[in-house]
Amino acid sequence: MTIDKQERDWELIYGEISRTLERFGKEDAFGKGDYWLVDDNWGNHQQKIEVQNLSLIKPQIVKLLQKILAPYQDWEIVVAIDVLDHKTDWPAMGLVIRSNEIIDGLQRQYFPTEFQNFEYEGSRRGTDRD
Amino acid sequence: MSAFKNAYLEHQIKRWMASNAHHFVRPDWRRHVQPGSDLASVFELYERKYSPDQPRVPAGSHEGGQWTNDGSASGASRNETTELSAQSRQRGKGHHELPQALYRNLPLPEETRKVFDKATTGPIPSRGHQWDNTHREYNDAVRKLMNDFMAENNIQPEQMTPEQAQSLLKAVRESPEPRISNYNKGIRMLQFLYRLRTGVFRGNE
Repeated sequence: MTIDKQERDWELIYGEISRTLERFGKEDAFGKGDYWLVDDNWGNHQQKIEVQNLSLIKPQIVKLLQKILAPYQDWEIVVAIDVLDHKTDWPAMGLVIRSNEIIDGLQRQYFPTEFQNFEYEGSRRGTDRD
Repeated sequence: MSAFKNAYLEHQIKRWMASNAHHFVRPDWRRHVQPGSDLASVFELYERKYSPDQPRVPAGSHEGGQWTNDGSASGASRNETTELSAQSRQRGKGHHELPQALYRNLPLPEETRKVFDKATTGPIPSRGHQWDNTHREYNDAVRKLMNDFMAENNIQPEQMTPEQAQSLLKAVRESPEPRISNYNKGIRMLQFLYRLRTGVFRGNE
């Protein structure tokens, strides 16, 4: 059985992200871990990570994720902040990581102090529609 | 989504899209609609619906004659294919009605597992709401529904039949639980917009 290029690339990038993140946290699809790497392939050029532990968005980890995309210039990794204790009082926010830029939509004023100073090289402010 | 609902949506789209739909859109609509929005996609579809310049998928493939952006089938070249692992072949494209995390590690009979593997929406290459967390909430709600279903019907995973799997999927589709029903409604809307945008009217792939 053969599959198309999108499907092949999706699998390869998914595997790379999975191997990268498992070094830094525990995955759980029900919000009980540090993150969830969404395992549905919708057919677009995108991977999505829902992050429950803000340590996962440290600049060095985001940099590693961006490096994964170097051979995949038309792909992006969406990082959605999903901290369970703040389901209702934090707005939707996150990052969009591409090989050549990072869209920074974090609203750091909501974060604990130790996470408010994260800065990403090559980033610009934006939204998830950019 | 069931085959019935797919057919219904397809019929409604074809029924209500007038052949001269583009005449009902202001020529300067771009001044008033955000570029890249779903509404912009629909208006662009109207504009190009009957353009003789727009390429179609060549005859000879199962998508032959359909509108396309580049003349290839589904945007990706059919020549760009490769072999992948059995796991990836089983995944299928689109949203899994039963989240994979719920059944991936269960000792299900192979035929039952196939029912869940195949229960996907098919590709929906929409960007959707990117920073939301509704999928994780959907997972939570479906997990509870599944646990209740298995307990009420006294089903052990290793003895679950394909028919029971279908019944569970039906319960998911018809669940009134807001985290499930709202997510399913969102999926149906994205499918609708995707089909409007691309002219692709097909079931699961």
